[in-house]
Amino acid sequence: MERGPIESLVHRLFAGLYGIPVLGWLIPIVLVLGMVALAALVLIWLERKVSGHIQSRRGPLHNGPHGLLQTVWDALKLLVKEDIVPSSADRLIMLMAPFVVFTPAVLVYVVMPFGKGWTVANLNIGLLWVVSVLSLGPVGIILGGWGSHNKWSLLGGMRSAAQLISYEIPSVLALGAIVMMAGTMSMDGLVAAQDQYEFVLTPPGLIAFVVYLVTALAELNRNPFDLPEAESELVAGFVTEYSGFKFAIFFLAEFANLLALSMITVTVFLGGWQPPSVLFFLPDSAQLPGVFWFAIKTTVMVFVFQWIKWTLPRLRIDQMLNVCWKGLIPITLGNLALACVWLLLTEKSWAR
Amino acid sequence: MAFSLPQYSWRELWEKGWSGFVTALKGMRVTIRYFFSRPTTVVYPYQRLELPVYYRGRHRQRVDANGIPWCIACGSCARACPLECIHIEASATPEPPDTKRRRKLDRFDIDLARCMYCGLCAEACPQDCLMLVADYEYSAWRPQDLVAPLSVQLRPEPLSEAELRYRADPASDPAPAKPKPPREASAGEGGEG
Repeated sequence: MERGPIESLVHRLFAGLYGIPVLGWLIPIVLVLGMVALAALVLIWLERKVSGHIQSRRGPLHNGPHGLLQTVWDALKLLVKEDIVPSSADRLIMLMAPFVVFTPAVLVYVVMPFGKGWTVANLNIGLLWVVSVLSLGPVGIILGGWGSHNKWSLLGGMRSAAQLISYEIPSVLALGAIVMMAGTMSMDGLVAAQDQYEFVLTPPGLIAFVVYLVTALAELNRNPFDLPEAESELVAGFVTEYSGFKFAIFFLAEFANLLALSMITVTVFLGGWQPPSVLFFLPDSAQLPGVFWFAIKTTVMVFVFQWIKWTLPRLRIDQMLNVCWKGLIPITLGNLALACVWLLLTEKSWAR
Repeated sequence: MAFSLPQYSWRELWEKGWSGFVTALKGMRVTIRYFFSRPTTVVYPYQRLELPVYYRGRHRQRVDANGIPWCIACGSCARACPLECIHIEASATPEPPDTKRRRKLDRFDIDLARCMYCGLCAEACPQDCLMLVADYEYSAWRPQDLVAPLSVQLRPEPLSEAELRYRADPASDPAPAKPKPPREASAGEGGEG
């Protein structure tokens, strides 16, 4: 078939220009970035609405339907504000920090299975990618805390380091049990392994789910683990000296992370884009496309995270470390053993 | 060691951990109940509280049929005022028009920016003329604009039934404040504000 010059160029951009599929990469990147930015705006609105109603208030009301445009105006306000850098701050490090926090938050979406075949890159080590990329975030937080040249910021950054390093371990151990049961680390493979029932319905899966929820809260720096920015103790922690655009980036990264961790929880524990197995009686004709199930489950998970945030009070720093090292790590290690037993008992493993 | 951590037995550890988990769930049950209950806030410009008649808002002076206040310019209110925010000037009338008043009000200013709405002036009034009513919407840009002259204090409309009942027997408690239904169909949806 004869192609015109433009058509041929487009084809080559998709198929690969010097081995690089430019458009094949560019389009998903733009889509993911747009989705993250848009989702963050909606999530901030949702956060304020949820916190309002939990506290018997109403939250934003006046801009747009039910205050939906409130975050848009807030974001615009932040963008036009003066960018203040303390005179003794390390300008370069302080400038880098928000982007070092924001980049991993977006990179996680690369392996996210949004729907059937809707993955930007189906890595066979998808879950490892998620874990390792998410552990880059605290580097930016420490950079911000160090570069600000402020005691509150530095304390916030240090607490973040302690918190993140501790909570990575039970988080990975909890995911490890799931990886054992699924036999794969690919995100698509994890979803496919849950075609009969979700992992949260199995005993080791349930324990891993609860532990992972706790560690996810810690990784998000959210209540009850919001020690890095504990308002009543550290002013605003590592964001104390930030204003304007850089502060907006921190804010965006926080909510991008919230969405990412909700999506990971949905993918790993709740069956991803597949309809919930408890709804097995639904006829096939009544099924929604996978993206809708994924969106519904993610929204529920985001709500759960916000619900927890506005319920539980903050832990003290030693309590937080105790919960991790003396509580969660033994539980997850025991859970790994339980997962082995479970694998021996279920017929699925005999067949493999 | 700056401090030592308490040592727990396995049993205590389990009990503490489990009770922490269960109480967290209990707390979440409470918050989800509040989440689904109606908010207690009143969306003010669109929704207003129905105020009780004994609410002490701005001052009003009751007037007779000719529109002249019942005030006899005795100055009791100004003397009763702990903040001295009432300023009265009066002149003698040689011939009382149609009442028995011997003094005519020239000026009766109340500095509402200074007033603390204690209501002592209204209690001191021998004529039962000065009263505080449930009106609180009189904001101004400058404090000096809050000095209310006599002309804005006149109250031509007669007392309502609830006010009369309350004046007859202050102990009879009228209905407590509760939110009125919103003016619009859905409160605050139109971005009027």
